[in-house]
Amino acid sequence: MTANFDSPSVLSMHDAGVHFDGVKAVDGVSLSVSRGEVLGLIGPNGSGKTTTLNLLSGMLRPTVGAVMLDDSDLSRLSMRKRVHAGVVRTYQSGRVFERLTVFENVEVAALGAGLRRGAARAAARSTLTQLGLDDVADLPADSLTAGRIRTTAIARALAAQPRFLLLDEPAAGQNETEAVQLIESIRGFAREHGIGVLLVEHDMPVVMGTCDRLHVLDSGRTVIEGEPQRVRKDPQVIEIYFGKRA
Amino acid sequence: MIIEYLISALGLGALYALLTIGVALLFGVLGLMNFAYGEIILAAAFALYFFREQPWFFAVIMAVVFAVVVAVLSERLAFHPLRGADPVTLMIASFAVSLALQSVARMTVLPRAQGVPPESFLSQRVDLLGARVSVLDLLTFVLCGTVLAAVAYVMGRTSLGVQLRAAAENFQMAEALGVKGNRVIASAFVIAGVLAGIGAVVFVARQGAVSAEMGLQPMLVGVIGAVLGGMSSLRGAALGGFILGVGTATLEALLPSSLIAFRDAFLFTALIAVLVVRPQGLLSGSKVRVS
Repeated sequence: MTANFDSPSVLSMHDAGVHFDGVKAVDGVSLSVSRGEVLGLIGPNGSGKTTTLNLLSGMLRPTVGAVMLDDSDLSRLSMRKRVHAGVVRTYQSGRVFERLTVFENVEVAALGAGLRRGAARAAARSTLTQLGLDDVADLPADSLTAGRIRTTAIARALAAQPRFLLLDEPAAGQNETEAVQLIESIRGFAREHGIGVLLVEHDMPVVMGTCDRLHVLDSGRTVIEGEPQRVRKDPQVIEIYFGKRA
Repeated sequence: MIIEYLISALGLGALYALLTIGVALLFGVLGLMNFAYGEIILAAAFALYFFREQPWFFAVIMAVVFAVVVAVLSERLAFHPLRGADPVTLMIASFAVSLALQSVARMTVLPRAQGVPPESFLSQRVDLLGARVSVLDLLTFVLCGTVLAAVAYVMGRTSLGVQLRAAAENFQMAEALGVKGNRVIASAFVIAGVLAGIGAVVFVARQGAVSAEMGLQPMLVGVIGAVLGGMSSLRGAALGGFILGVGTATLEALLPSSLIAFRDAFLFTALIAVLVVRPQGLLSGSKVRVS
C-alpha cells in the first residue's frame, strides 16, 4: 500500500440538507475533504455533526443538495456501495462485532472492501500493528476496554482501504493526551496512505493541533471554515463555545 | 456396554448439533426462525427414497443436492423478497413454505409413509474395542462428527466463515462494512441445506421410511437445541443440540423400559428447568433476543 493520490481525490457535500418532520437537522452545508488532509468537524451538541457524517457515509440520504466523490454523485448510493467507492465511517459508540476476535473484526472489514483472503489478513495484521493492538489481536472484542474497542473500530475502518475516512468522535472517553495521540496516529496513517479524514469532535483543544482545517457547525448550519488558528479567534465560535458575554 | 452407549450418545449428539446449527445459522444471519427447515430434510429424504435402487453413496450425494436446491430455492422465492421484513413476517413465511412443500409431497409421492429399506451393512454390528457396536451408530458418529468438524473449519478458518459470523452477529453492520449480504445469506442457506441433507441421511437410515411429516421432529430438535444453547451464538447452538442428543441417548440407556415412552417428557422437563435458570440459553450473552 503506497500513497496514491489519483482520483477520486475530493469527497464533498454541496448545499446538502436533511429534514426530519420539518426540523432541519442539517441545512445547506457545503464542505469538502481532500485526500491526505484531516478536516475537523466541530460544533456544540445537536449542531448536526453526526447527521452530516451520516449524509456523507450514506446512512442518511440528503433531502436537498448532493454528496459527490469528485464528479460522481453518491447521494443515492447505499453505505455498502460507498464503502466500495472508498468512503468508510466509524460510529460514536465504537461498535464492533463482540463475539469476533479483534483480528477477525478487522479482517471482515478488509474482506468487505473486496480484498482476497491473504491480502485481507495481511492488511488486518499491519493495521493492528500500526494502532498498537497486536497484543489483543486474538481476544474476543468484547473483552477489551472501551478505549481499545474504539481503536479496534478505527483499525477496522482503516483496513477497509478507505480513500476517505469519517470518524465520529474517535477519542471520546479518553483523556486529552490519549486523544491527541490517537488522532496523531490516524493523521500519520492518513498522510502515508493518502486518506482524506473527516473528524467529528466536540473537544476544541483536541482538534486544534491535529486538524489541517476546521469546519464549525451550529444548529445545522456552517458558522465558519478555515485554519484552526483563525477559527479559534472567530467571534462567533467564541460565542458558541464560551457563551455570550453580556 | 459403555462403548456402545458412548458411540450412540456422541453420534446422536453430533446429529442434533448439525440440525441445531442449521437453524441457528439462518436465525443469526436473517433473523429467520425457519420452520421450513424440516421440509429441507424432507427433500433430502425424498431423494433417498427416489434413488433407493441406486448405490447408497450416490443416493446420499443426491440427498444433499436436493436439500441444498430446496434450501436455496426457498430463499430465492420466499425469503429474498421479504428482505428486511419483520422477524414475525419471516417466520410466518417459513410456515407457508413448510406447509406448501409438505402438501406437495403428500399430493404426489408420499400420501403415506414409504419404506426405504436400510442398506444391509447398516444393520450389522462390528467389534470395536471389545464391544459390538451397530454400524448405523458408528456411521452416525463418524458422518456427523466429520460434518461438524467441516462446519467448524469453514466457520472458524475461512473468509466466508468470518463474514458469516459477523453477519450473524450484526447483519446491518456487516453490510455497512461492505460485506455482500446476499452472498452471505445464500451461503448460509447452502450450509443449512448440506446439514439438513446429512441429517436426513441418518434419520432415514434409522427410521427405514420416509413420510411427508418426517421433517417435524428434526426441525423441533434444531429449534429446541438452538434455544437451549442460545440462539445468538452458533457455538452455543451447537452445544445445545449436542446436549439434547446426548441427553436423549442417555435417557434411552438409563430409563427402565416401562418409562422409555416418556423419554421426551423427562428431557423437556429438564430443558424447561435449564431455561428457567438461563432463559437466554447456555452460551448467550446477557442480552435476550426476542423473536
